[in-house]
Amino acid sequence: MNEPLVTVEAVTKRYGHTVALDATSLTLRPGVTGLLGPNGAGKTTLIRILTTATAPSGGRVTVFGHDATGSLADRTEVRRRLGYVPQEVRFPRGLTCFAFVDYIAVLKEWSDAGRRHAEVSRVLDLVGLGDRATRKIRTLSGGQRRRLALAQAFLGSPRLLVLDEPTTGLDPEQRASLRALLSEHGRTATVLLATHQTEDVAALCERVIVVDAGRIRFDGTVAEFVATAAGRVWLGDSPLPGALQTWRTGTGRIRSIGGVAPTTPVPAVTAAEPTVEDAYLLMLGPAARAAAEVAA
Amino acid sequence: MSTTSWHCDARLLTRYSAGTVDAVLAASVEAHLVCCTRCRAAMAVHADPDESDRIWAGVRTAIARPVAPWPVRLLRRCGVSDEDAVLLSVSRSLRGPWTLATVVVLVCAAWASFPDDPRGKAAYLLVAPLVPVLGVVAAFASADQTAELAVTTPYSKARLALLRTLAVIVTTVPLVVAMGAVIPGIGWMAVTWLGPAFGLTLTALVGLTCLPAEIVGPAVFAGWTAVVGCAYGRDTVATAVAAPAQLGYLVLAVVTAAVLFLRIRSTHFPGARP
Repeated sequence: MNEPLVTVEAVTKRYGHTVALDATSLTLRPGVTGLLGPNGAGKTTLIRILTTATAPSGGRVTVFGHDATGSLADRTEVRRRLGYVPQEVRFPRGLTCFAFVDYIAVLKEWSDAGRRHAEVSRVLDLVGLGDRATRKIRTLSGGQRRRLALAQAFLGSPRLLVLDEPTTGLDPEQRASLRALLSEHGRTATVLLATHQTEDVAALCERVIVVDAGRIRFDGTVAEFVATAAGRVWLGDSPLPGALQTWRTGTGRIRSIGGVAPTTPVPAVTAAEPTVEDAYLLMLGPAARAAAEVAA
Repeated sequence: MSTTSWHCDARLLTRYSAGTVDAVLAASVEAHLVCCTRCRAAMAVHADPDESDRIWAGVRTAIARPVAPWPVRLLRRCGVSDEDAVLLSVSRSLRGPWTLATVVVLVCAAWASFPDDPRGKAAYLLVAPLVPVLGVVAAFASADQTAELAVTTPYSKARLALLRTLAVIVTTVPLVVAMGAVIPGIGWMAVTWLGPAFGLTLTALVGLTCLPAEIVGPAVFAGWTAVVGCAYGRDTVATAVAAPAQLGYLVLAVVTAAVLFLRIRSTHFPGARP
């Protein structure tokens, strides 16, 4: 089960003169992998290439042995094993929840009406919308619409599940339910989760890939990612001199990240346990970028 | 027969569970099982628990399944397969533009029936070929909302595109032809508009392989308005659908059909921009 199921080899994507992805390579295995990065980093472009929604300008993507950038037959085989939630899902007017998922199920080749309807009911139950199956989509809240978008991705329990910002608009309870769902699915399938929510990555992912300016900046376990911030996070009554970023926490203490460890003891400043967010801010936060530019 | 004076033997229960006893005996066994604890216990050995789970799951699904929307039910009654009915029902927001276009054609046709007013014929000729174009564009504008999802599914996008187009043509063309035939004064124009209609519809489909419906619709409208406007300016509206022009539309239809075929072969489908 540990062989790479998805392989991205030197994939490049250009839009005119803009390079959205620059010779990116990675592999994905069963489990939940988080994809972190700022807006415009290339996450959605990478996801759209993986899901065959767009073709790369160069490079090769292999999914379960099929070339996702190759012939139509190969791409169709990839699509048969894929569940996908785009960043923004627009719903056709006038449809009910059941009718929308039923429509996607037909597109996913569920030709037998009885089995298809049973599967549609199953995925609606899975995301907690079973009791709203006959409701018009326009009457749903933003969070419910997001869950509806998720429901269609679970049709047929796909081996590859790609989710672009799936927790946007969900309340904490719904996010917890989704995490449970994804972690269960990730036991047997390959799940790629693009998100801005570092707490989702910390709670759910075994591995994290950080993308910035079309390049992979980090690829490793979440523990390894957090370890990049070890010894660079501080809690005190005042900001640590030279810190890249500081903010007052809920307890009233000041959290400082980056900067140089104090050579002489600073009163009431202690090293703190870093989080995924600390590591992310240290790697890609605005202050980190500014510091890198100055250093360059 | 009393239900407790006899009991089912193992052989009878085996045959009953396999469904090989006749209807009268099956009804008798069934009535007996309802009352007899001993035979029910014996029957449990013969019953396949998976089978009963499957049956109950089927019953639950059938009860919980919502009634299909009326467009799906209507299409099914018209002989459309269940899958195609579901696919077409998503394009049903084309109803509004379709109804509007049909009403406009009706008004223009009525206008064209006034023999002394050439503007009526020009208006009819302007609008009639655009009805299927408008229907196609509206169908793809509506379905475009799910394009990002639809393009990542294994269903043939070429079939989907042609299915939607066919549905629009089947529902619009006969109606417009019938209106033109019924209203006096239109003459051969009641059918000659079909030439530009097919040329323009195919042109719109080719356009939809690379441009959004919001651009393709107005572009085709502007092009056809220019053609009819030129003919009207020369006081010869009928030349826009005369034999030489029909030849031009035929060439346009053949060329755009070929381009559409090539675009679809290279996986550029109408309504699914790469």
